[in-house]
Amino acid sequence: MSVTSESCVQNFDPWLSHPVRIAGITREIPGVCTLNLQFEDSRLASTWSFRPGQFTMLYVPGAGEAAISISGDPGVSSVITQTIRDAGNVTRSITGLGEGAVIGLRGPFGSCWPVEMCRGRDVVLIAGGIGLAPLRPVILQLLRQRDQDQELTLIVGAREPSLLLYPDQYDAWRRQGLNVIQTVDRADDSWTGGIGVVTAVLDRIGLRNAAETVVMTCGPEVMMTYAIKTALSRGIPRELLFLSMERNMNCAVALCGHCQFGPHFLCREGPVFSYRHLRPLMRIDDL
Amino acid sequence: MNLESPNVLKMLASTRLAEGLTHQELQSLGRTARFMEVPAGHILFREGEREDDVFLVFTGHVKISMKVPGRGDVTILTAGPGDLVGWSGCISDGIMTATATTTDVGRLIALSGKQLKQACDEDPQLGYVLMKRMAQVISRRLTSTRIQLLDLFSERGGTP
Ligand SMILES: Cc1cc2nc3c(=O)[nH]c(=O)nc-3n(C[C@H](O)[C@H](O)[C@H](O)COP(=O)(O)OP(=O)(O)OC[C@H]3O[C@@H](n4cnc5c(N)ncnc54)[C@H](O)[C@@H]3O)c2cc1C
Repeated sequence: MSVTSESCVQNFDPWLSHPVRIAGITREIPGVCTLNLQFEDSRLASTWSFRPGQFTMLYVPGAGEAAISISGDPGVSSVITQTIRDAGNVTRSITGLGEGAVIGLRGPFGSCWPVEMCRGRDVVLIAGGIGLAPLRPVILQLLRQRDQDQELTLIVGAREPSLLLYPDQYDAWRRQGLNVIQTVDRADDSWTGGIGVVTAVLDRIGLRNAAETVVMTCGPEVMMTYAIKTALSRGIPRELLFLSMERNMNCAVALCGHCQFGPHFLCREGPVFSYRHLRPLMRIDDL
Repeated sequence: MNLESPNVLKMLASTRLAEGLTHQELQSLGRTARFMEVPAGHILFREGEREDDVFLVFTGHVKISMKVPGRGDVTILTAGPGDLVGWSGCISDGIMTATATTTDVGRLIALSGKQLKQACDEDPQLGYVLMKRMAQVISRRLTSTRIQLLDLFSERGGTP
């Protein structure tokens, strides 16, 4: 049984690593950068595509491979955009590379955010820290397919204002109809956004019709757990709650067991899950 | 404006605090309430001072700050529409543990803590429901504080 709302069938060799060139680098916040990657093989560039929520395995010779979500626009196929936090061996090797360097890419892998399910429904996206990266493709797609009557809200949290991801894009998203609410754990007096956790914002925002509101969340697991608990208490049904479980993984093809979460292989069935399916494992009801 | 105007009752009825109250209970709650519209920078209450009112925020935001020696006023939380601030006025001695300042034009309802306590004493059923609601507000605030303490977005915090 599929544990997500929208399956993403793959019809390529999952073991094949394709050379991609770093065409652009944006330093986002300390330790985090966004890479624009281009296939060396131009035929691939025209056929490769992904769906919001999916990830690739990036390979650096001599360092190894890491799962990295695609953070770019699904409507743009000429570049693959990925936002990477320097967390250890592989990611540090990647973030240390310069423009023009070539690395390997396998994928895209994994399940997708339920973009189709959002048609005609209000949507609340809850992102914490670098968790905004896997949600950015869904933001861009939802803004493109938004109907006038649809309310789209993004609650984005970070430790402090300077650590909010993609802050220069919020105004453009607002102009296109996304209600962006920023909140941080701590800030000085120059900060005009909110202070407090994302769940406190979710607890108080106006919901026109909770029973028909889709929630998608990505960030630290504890944050997602409480976001879901809050969403449930606001009357949002389980089947409309989605989260991205970006746990440590290795092979991306459900062989090695690194990413096993109960009976689920996060790399094959995830990273995007419906809460309805993860509920027995997350024990939110016991909190 | 007096709170017994139907508008204030209507506003109160839309809050979680008043959810499920009978018409009569809502009227009792309404008698303790008054509507306020305040500019940005308005201080609702100050840390260390006695305050009788409990505030329900309808529009605008309120920053809650504490004085920290050597650091001045540190904002620990921003409350927004739907939030209840200043419950000390109702459930403890009324000495405020933080300062509350509006950050933009705010429309609020102030509930008189003294009158609210009296209404609860006179009608224990209403008192039970209101205290349960306040306990829920405090419990949610405690959970938020715990999550904030976990410092989830730090290097070790577990971001993907
Ligand atoms: C589906 C998926 C999508 C991901 N998307 C992104 C992304 O868009 N951007 C990004 O920067 N990272 C992302 N990650 C996390 C990334 O894969 C890991 O940070 C990376 O594999 C770490 O490898 P490393 O060799 O650099 O660090 P290592 O040296 O292997 O580990 C360094 C430290 O990070 C911890 N760690 C490793 N993987 C994870 C993880 N998944 N979650 C939390 N801690 C971990 C290790 O336990 C260790 O403490 C994603 C992971 C998954 C599974």
